[in-house]
Amino acid sequence: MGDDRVHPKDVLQDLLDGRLSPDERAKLEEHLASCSDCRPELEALRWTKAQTASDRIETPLDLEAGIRAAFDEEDRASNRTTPFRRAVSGIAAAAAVLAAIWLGGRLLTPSVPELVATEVKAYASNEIDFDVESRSASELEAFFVERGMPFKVTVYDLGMMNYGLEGASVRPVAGRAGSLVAYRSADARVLLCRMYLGHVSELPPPLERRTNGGITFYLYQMKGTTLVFWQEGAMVCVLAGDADLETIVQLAFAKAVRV
Amino acid sequence: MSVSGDEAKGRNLRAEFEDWALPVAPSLYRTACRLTRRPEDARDVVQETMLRAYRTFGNFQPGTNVRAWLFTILYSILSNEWRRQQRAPEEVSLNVIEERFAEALRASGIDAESALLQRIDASPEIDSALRGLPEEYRAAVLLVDVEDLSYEDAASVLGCPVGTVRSRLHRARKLLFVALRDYARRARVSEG
Repeated sequence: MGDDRVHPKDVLQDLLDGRLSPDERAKLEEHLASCSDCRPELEALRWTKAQTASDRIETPLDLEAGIRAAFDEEDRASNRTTPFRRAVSGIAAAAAVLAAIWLGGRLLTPSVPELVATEVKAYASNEIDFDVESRSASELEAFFVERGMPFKVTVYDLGMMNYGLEGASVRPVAGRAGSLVAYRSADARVLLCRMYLGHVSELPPPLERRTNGGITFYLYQMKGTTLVFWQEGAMVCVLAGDADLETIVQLAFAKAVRV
Repeated sequence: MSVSGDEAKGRNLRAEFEDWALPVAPSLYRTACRLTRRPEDARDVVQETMLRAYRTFGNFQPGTNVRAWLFTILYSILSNEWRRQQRAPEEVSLNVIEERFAEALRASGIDAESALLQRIDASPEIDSALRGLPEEYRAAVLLVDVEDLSYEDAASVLGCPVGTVRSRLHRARKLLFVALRDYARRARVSEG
């Protein structure tokens, strides 16, 4: 006798990993109770997961000591440059306060869209120095790895859209770890891609929200700049430039990844 | 002897970092061992991961998942090395995996009335089965099944969508079962 039931094998893994809603789980368990086809498969997956989870590798006893020794060396190296670092951080702090006053005309921290729009203007006027200048996406990605970014920075290749890479910097956003990647088109349009640890819920109300491919995009226009924000995992991604709104939005639609 | 404010701050930062990060070192080492396949390389990669994290700890935001952050740095270092070596990601066709899994399931003798013992003494075989997986599948299974990261955190570490993590896990577990099917047969217990 044939079994013409639909076997929900693609969700067995979700049951195993606790990723089903109570309703979905109850429905699947009801199916499993009477299905001699799905039960062995679930059992095999459950056993395999348990085997892998039980796998252990002995940690060398001196691993921690080696790490501490590396920190000692790092501390010694950074102490040698302390006077310079202090001077630089003092200047940076003063500049940040001045920027806050200048940007808002008041002693309030500007919003992230305002900050990024200001960066776009500064970049368009060639007033931004990059930590590294390169036209290669892989070189710039390697640069962020070298700098120990706490997230993987994706450097988009926008050559098809006529934007060429110019450079990149490690640059915090509102005190959070952030990356900056800069592009310029043949007709001198500028585009910045920013990524930083944060959440879109912290942004001010946008001009417009749009959804594409299951991702919500937050649109802003200020200082002659269009900005599109979206969330990718623990990071907020931003594309901001002086092209028209639809161009920037379509670039964001093309590059955003649902996480 | 007095301690300057900056020195005290530096010491506190280091102590804080060590409290947060050092407990993760064994997990990083385990994962690095499985991904590099060489213990001596794993030790270097873990040390480099810790140093890079320490240098940028000033940017660290309370509430960030420290384990996921450290794994992200570790994986970035490794994937950069693979890219430097120009290693192409391996893909195994889903159809091939499903066929091999179905065959292994039949061969293992598991049926609707069987259960498998949680553990069998097959460490070298598990080790070998893990090593046989394509790197991207192996990374997903190590992060989720061994290190207990959520799909979301694993996606952040691997720089891919959550759906990709799910798909890699699906493939990895089935390939692992195929490699371990003889042990599955040994682990089978019939009820009743």
